[in-house]
Amino acid sequence: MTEEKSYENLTADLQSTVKEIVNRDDVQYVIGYGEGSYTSRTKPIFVDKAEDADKLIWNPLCVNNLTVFLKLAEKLPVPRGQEPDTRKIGVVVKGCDVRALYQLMQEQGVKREDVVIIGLSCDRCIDPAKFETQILQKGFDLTTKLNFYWDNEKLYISKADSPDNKVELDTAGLIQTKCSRCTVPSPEETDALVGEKLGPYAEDNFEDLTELEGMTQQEREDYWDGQFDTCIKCYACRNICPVCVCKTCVLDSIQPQWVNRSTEFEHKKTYHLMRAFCMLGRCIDCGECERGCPVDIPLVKLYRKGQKTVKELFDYEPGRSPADKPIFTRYDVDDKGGTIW
Amino acid sequence: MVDKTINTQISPLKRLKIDNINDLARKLTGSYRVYVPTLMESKIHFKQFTEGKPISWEFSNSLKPAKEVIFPQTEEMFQYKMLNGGADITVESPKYDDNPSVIIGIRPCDAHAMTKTDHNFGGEFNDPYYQKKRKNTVLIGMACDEPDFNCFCTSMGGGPYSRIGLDAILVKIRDFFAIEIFTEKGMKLIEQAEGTHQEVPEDLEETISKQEDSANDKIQRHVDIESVEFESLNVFEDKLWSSIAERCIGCGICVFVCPTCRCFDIQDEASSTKGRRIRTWDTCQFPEYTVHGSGYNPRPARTHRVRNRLLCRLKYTNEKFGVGYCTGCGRCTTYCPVNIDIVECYEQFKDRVETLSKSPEEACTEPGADKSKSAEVEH
Repeated sequence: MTEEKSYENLTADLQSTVKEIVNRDDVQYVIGYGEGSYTSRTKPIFVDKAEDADKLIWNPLCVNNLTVFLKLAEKLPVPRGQEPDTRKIGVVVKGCDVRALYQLMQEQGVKREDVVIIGLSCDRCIDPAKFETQILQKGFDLTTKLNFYWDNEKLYISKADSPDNKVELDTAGLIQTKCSRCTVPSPEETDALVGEKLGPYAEDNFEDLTELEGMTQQEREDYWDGQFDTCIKCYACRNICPVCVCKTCVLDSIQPQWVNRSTEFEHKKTYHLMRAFCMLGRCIDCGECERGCPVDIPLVKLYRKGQKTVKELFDYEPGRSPADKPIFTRYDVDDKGGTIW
Repeated sequence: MVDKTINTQISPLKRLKIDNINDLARKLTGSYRVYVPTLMESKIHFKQFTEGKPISWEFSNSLKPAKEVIFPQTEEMFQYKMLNGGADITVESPKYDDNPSVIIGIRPCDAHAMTKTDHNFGGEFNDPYYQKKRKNTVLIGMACDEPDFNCFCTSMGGGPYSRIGLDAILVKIRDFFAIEIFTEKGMKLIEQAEGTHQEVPEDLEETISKQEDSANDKIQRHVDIESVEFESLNVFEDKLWSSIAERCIGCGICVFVCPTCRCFDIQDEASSTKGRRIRTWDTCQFPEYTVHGSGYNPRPARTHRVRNRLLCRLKYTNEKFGVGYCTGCGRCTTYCPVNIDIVECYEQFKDRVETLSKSPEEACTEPGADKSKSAEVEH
């Protein structure tokens, strides 16, 4: 899966693929990854001209889920006499990211024909903060451009101006936790795929929840209370989530107000419990909530428990295919739990 | 490029030696509410000193700025109760503990920021909630010897050893701390801390000055933004802002970690016969921040809101108070999930102003940049 592979080659493939797509008459722009402002960061970029496709990159620091920009696409007013631009939007997606699109398509929030899906086969991504610490220790600074290579499960970097000087990275603890249990490195349904199709890295039996499930209910509540106490109510988890698309979010509503804006502990706990319930049957496990959280609350574990429960009760995993039906729109006489009367 | 060695030296009234800051914190507890950097999970917050939770010094900066001690994220303004079926209503102001507070370990950028937010909460509109706490709080800073990559305080009128806004500053010297005290408030505090300080073992003036130079040299990012002036509207309407804002997801983290952001919402939390009015941090990055009662939103798009945030600290505050509001702490860049880098933004802004002043025909207005159009836009 990860034999000798250079991200430079994959980046070149990506750039030429996107160039073709942007040149199409029916495509407005393509959302992809570009160089960040310093070594450990990448940033989302919007390519609407073929020559700008050369700004695209692909490497293990491309952690963002770019599908979030579909919900954020602003329909700005146009001058009188002009029609709004309704052409397709292209988006570069890893296997985890695209599940958000499939989920929104299931819910009819996004139409398949309005999106051009450019898939990336992902060899797993790395945590930018931990990467920053590691390269600083290894004597690199944060202004040098680096190249990435895989060679038989080992990940290497080299300075862009001396590509033969490869330095091995210590991948233990560097590769994102979610990547180690990834079952969909390559998006299933795409309009284009960069990199050969990859199979699952592991079977996912929710082993990451074993520790929490082994606690007593009180221990678990104390654990989560401690986490929620550090929350600063910045709403980043909700804003960064690609499937959080409600016009009036239950967490924002003022009339009626379901969750207070104040930051006393009980309101933070309410916020998180309500969000966890919102995620049931919808969370596609991209982990952006946890990545965005400035206080590192392990939100993924909270929502994973919801995923596990939904799978056990209804044999449903969100965002596997656009053709699935969301669980709250299905009914089966064999559904567990009986009836309400 | 701004001169790296900022002369922020204020002559101290006194210079003393402190071996153990925990002892200082312990001694002051009782006569002061003592706030210290506390490690919670992986981040530093300013919390009240408690035994058993040693102060953590292994950090560049706290996650939330120290302003939260003076301007808490949620603050009660008053409480009310309806009695006798509504015939009597009582209104109670919050009870303030008149004991003074001290923040030990605030970084120079955060103290500098407080001198700026003072303009909004004082002067024309005196905010009693802020002022009472502000006057009652002593700021003991901790000089930065290892600034973060994203720190650019030296470009914004401050520096890792800047004394602006501080009552005293702690400097790590070998295996002890020197404390320099600048104000009467600081002197009064040190008098209450008998037994925790001694005379300095030698003349530290040169040592501290050398350390300051060394810290200034460690600042990696610089930008010359103080000199940018613009008046023309074409910069305001320019595509520069949408090129920055297109990747913004409106999460608001930049605001929650900023030491000079100060906008708040006022809400009433009520049940049938009692309630309270609170104010809580709000952010101009959320669309509902500017929604009018009619439903009209003067900043319907993220472009407008991102532009507002950048111009607020570069231009509007300069016009109103004579100072820019950014102190170069770099937190917004560090925590932004989409790499909106404030130093990069300032540089792009400066370049664009220069370009447009030389060639105004290059101005490129975005459709919808005219904010008088409707509020149809989704966020």
